[in-house]
Amino acid sequence: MGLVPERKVEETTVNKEKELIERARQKDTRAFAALVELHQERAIHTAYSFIGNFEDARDIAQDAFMKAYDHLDTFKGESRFFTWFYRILANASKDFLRKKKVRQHLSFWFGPQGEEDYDPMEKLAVTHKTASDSAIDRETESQVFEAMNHLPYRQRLAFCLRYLDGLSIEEISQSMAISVGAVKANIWQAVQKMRHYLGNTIEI
Amino acid sequence: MDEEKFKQIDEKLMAKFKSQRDKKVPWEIMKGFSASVENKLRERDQKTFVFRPSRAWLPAAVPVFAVMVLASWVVLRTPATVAPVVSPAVQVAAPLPVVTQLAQVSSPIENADMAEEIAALREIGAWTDDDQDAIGAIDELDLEQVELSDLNSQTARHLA
Repeated sequence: MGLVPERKVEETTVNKEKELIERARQKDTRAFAALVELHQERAIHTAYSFIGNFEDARDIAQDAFMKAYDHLDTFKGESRFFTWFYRILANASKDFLRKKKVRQHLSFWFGPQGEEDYDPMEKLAVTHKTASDSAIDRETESQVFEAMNHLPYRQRLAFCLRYLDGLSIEEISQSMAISVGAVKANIWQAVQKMRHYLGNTIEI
Repeated sequence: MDEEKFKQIDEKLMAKFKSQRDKKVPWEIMKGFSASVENKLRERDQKTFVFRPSRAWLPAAVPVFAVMVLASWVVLRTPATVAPVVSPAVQVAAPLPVVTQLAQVSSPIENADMAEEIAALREIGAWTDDDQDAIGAIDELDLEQVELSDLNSQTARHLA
């Protein structure tokens, strides 16, 4: 009894994917749902690597899949579906982060309910106290995500795709539609900025 | 940026964040995900398919309808209009002079007169629903004539 060669499994998956995409283009929602099932875990994980929590990552991934359904006609089939889908997912994450920043900003100054007498300094003290009680892994994770919040979008994307999602430099280059050199440059700059932000807290 | 330095940092960070990459998506997050996407797409497709008749035709249709109503009124008021015969077998509950007269009408000219008379009676409030019921089943055309007359009388009362 031998194992099915990995290459054969890969070919079967690719063929199945092509067939599902073709049917989904004809507005077959069931076929598209089957395509989603093939990629859902990876999509949620990738979104998670951008933003740091699974609940929001699920919403972002769902939103991205729906946009992908609307724009399937633009998928040429020259690369794998997920390479093309990454761009949509990245944009959806970017939109989420932008809205989150605005919400956080408003929430910081006006409180979560928009109260006028809300004191943001009070909230900061509470947050600090809570963070020190957390487990080390969780704290490190949250500090890394906090540091990533200060990165420009492209540097953050390149950093996340490489170290939190495990894509190769070539795959990132395809997803971001930039050269391999530009990917490396973005990653390099991201690392320098995060080192500066994190200081001696975490070694990067 | 040194290629060698980049390679060193790259390897170091790949090792450092391995646990993050290997983190599994919780089952409760994945549960029903693809079905949820499918349902949302179907709901959205159904919503976009809702038939909404264009109202662009409305302004143009108003004068057309007005002309149709006026023409109908003119045609119906013309004595030569042919009307179907009222059934002679109609039973009346309480014989009233006007009702008896109307029940005996059978010719087209007389039917037209009947409609006029009913209209006139309605105008002065002398023709009620009870009177209408008393003359029994009448042909659809007659009913239409009466209704139109009624409409005209109501309009006349309103204008008055």
